[in-house]
Amino acid sequence: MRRFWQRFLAYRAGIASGGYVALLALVALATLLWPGLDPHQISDAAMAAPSLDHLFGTDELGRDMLLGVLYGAQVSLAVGVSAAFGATLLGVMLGAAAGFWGGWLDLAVMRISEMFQVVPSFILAAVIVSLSGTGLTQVVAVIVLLAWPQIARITRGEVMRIKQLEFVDAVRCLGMREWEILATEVVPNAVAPVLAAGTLVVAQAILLEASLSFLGLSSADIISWGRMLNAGQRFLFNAWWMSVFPGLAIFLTVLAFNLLGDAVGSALNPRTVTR
Amino acid sequence: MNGNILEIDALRLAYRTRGTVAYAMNGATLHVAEGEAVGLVGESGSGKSTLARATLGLIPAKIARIESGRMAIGGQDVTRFTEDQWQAIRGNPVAMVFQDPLSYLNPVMRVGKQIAESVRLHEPRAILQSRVEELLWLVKLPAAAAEAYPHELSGGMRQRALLAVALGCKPKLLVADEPTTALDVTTQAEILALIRELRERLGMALLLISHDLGIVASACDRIYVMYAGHTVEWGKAADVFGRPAHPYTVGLLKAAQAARNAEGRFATIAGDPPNLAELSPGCPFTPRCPLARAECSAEMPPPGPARNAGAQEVRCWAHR
Repeated sequence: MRRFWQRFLAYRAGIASGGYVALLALVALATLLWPGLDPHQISDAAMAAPSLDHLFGTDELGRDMLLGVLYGAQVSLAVGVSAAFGATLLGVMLGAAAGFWGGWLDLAVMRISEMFQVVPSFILAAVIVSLSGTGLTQVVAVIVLLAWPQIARITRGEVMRIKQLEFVDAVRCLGMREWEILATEVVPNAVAPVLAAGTLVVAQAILLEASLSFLGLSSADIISWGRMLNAGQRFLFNAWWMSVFPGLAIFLTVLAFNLLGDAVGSALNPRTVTR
Repeated sequence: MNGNILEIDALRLAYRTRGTVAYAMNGATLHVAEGEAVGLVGESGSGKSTLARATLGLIPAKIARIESGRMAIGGQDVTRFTEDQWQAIRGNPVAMVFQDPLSYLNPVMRVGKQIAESVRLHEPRAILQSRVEELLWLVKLPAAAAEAYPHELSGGMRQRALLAVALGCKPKLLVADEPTTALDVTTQAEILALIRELRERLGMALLLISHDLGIVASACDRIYVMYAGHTVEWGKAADVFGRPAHPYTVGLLKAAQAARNAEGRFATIAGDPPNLAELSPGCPFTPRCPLARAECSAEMPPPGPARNAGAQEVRCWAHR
């Protein structure tokens, strides 16, 4: 674990993206807990340009953009992290079982995962959300459904490699049950690449949530960056701040999680040379 | 002697791959009494490791098959055991230690945890911690080694850790497949002394497999010599090594003494070990045997007492 942090901190993008994500989490928590803040609060100054009163300007109803962007972090983080968690959990379970036992189970899991990978994911997401409703739960479920195959494939490959290693025979010699060998001995050895891929899913999930919201496929009560972009596009030429700030928030957050995924991947890889 | 913990009788085991059939064990016979130390020697490819893996049911069922013969562990016939049945007897009564301790330990789990896993599978949880400490003490590892990952330990310490894991199951028979081959000479001696001491302290039987005759001679009561899937000679260590009967054992011992012959070259056994896929019905050693005669290539001799040697059993026409 100490070596993990050494390698992680040696990677400059790791520090930057890790710091950004930590800050974002703090913002989300603060907006959740801070009393008396209401992002829906309407003021007299509708569509006001950025000023000292409203650093990011206001929208067409006079709501403060800065407060909105800060509140949007809640949705983005919640959706991104829970979707990545769900996809990783599902992907690891299915991929590990497929790689370990092989045979018809492997065949079935791989064919199903291919089905999800060849269908254009955004269209599938849009169809599912428009059929099942626009709550955050639905959005998370859709992302889980779309993202688990990549995790499953990575896990399967790793498990197939690890199950042939000699120490697996050694624990088998102790009289350990097969599923126990898989869960306690094989899967922990596959954690590094899976965790890195899971971090990347966070970025994908945030982007997909923003895209769905931008197209209006999310509930209007929810303050999210994609929703704000959707509102801002009508006023793109009159009020650039309504699009630029939420857009920037999405851009930076997705970039940070991508870099974080790379940093986690190389920090968990024992062959990475520390500079 | 109170019964045998391991009995292998005339076991024939075939590996089938793409049309070829190789007999890794071709009528192997081996008995280990409770508490006894038995050595198995033979050159690479003689079937030693297949025999070791067979005693734990680790033979890949897809390509290998026991064709005839019988194997019993603790009086229970295991010849046709299923994977589930094997799982119930692995660890206790039979456990195994391996050649390369680094690749046989889980690289991402602390050593203490791995020992605890083995204890947990066979004993109540309440005594887990005290058992782990006891096992570390038994194999003479410092208590701090429990917190280490396998790659942080030296070769000798890893082999001690692997021993502790195996002993965590409280085995009645420990199968050790080349346990010292990956270690340097001084560490070899330490590990060997430790295995001997543990065996006496815990009263368990040992099946020590090695191509190093010196190691087997110093640690074992009885010796089996294996050649091309047959056990060709067996008896007390002093008899087999002191007064060898089978021409293969004689050659092996000469080669091991590293004595130079008249031309100043090391003694070797002429010829190559046979291809296990092309075995004749006779004795597989015939083409390399200085005593070969007509009946040798026709039929494998039955075991019987050796002539002009010790009290061992030998499968050789020259002794009938």
